[in-house]
Amino acid sequence: MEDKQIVDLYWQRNEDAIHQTQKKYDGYLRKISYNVLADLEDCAECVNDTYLAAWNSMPTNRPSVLSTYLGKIVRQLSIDVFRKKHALKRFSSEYAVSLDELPEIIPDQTTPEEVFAGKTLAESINRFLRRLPEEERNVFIGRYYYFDPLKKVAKYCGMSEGKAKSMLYRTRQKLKEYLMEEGFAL
Amino acid sequence: MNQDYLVDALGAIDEDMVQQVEILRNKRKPVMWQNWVTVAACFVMLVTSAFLAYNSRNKPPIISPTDPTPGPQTGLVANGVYVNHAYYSQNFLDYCLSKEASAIDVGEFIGYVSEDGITDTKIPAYRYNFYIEEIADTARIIVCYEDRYYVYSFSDYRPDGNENWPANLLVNAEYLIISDGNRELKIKEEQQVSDILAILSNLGEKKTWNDVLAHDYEVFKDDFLSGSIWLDDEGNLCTGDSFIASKLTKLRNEGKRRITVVMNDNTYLVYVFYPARKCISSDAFYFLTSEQIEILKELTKWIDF
Repeated sequence: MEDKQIVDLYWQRNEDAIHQTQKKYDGYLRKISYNVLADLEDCAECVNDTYLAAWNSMPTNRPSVLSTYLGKIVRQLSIDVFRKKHALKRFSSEYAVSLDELPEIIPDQTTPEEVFAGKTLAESINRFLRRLPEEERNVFIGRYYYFDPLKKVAKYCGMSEGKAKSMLYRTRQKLKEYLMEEGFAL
Repeated sequence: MNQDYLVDALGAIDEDMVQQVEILRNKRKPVMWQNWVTVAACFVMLVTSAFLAYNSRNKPPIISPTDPTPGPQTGLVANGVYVNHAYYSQNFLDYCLSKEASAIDVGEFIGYVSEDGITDTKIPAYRYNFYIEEIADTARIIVCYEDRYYVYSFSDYRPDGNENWPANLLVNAEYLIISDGNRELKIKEEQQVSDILAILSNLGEKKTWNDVLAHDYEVFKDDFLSGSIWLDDEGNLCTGDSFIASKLTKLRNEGKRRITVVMNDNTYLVYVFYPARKCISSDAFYFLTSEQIEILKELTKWIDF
């Protein structure tokens, strides 16, 4: 079933919307969730919560690409679950591994000196990503949005793992410099 | 700022950029069957003869593996004369299978497509098997041997009202075609197909069916039948056992394609049902020596336009 048809079902409050969503995107959502949580039960719960969130958010929302819309929801839900369950970031999920890479951009402060509006930061990151060459951007998003293992990111971006790794490193450095230029105190 | 803000902000990346990556993530390699469809579209079906073991009525086999015909017939390989027949003026693929046959249908009939091919039987390269198909008034027997497919067409064949195929249909053949899917060797009309069958009969020594069973048992063990079963004069499967009869019918209705029947004399017959084609054939398996393989290859040397 096409995304538009599924979204129409949500707007019609037809419960088949969830069944169709599950049929089409269950595996996709579980993969994203598993990259964060590395736990099948937690993943299942997050994916189910995603369907509920989708049901509650449509109508009002009418996404054109359902996969991206749902992916964003499950990603955030999974991160929230991760944060609740694990105070320490030492945990064997790709999300945890990627978190180890982020201090290069923003050193983790147990007590942040400044609080920035998330929206402002998100806008800056979007501007930064748009300036990047497509290849670098795809690698960055694959790693830090989808939390895919580096090997997998390298594969679907068509490069060696080593190249992807060094590319990510340079991108992180560039992002750090960019955020500082934008006035974010890091 | 701590990392949570950064992680949350990364979650708000614009959708168009995320979708670009999603496309990359979801790209897949072409699956094997897609490549196989391309191959299958080019090739041709073939022939071989089926040999059935008869029951205790001692009906002699149609082609005896011990026929004294010595190797290839020089007449056959020397006379690459084309047959001018309306049937063969058509696109070869059209008349090898019915028009609605898909490449997957072809795969169902052929035991071995290519090294990378997908087949439902996975017969080793040194074996070949066949199936029988009725095309209009002509019976077509298709044999796969290694990576070549041979089609034998036999006229003057009629299935009976029960859609069973007489085992002796081969003796009624009138003409012959050999093809590798791209080219055809058309045999002169008056060429006796029995010559070809004699060649085939000398190409290998029939092994015991135990070898067949060893190959197929794990896959088809639920389909094995044992009991009072015999073949009538026309080679049709008969049974006085209503349980077996109903099981055969049930298996056939379930779309089972291969049923192995244990005959009273410990001869095993493998019946292959093709419900879509409403035909039934019996597979015979031959092991070929290297010499015999060379003989068969000789037949294809004359495929040349």
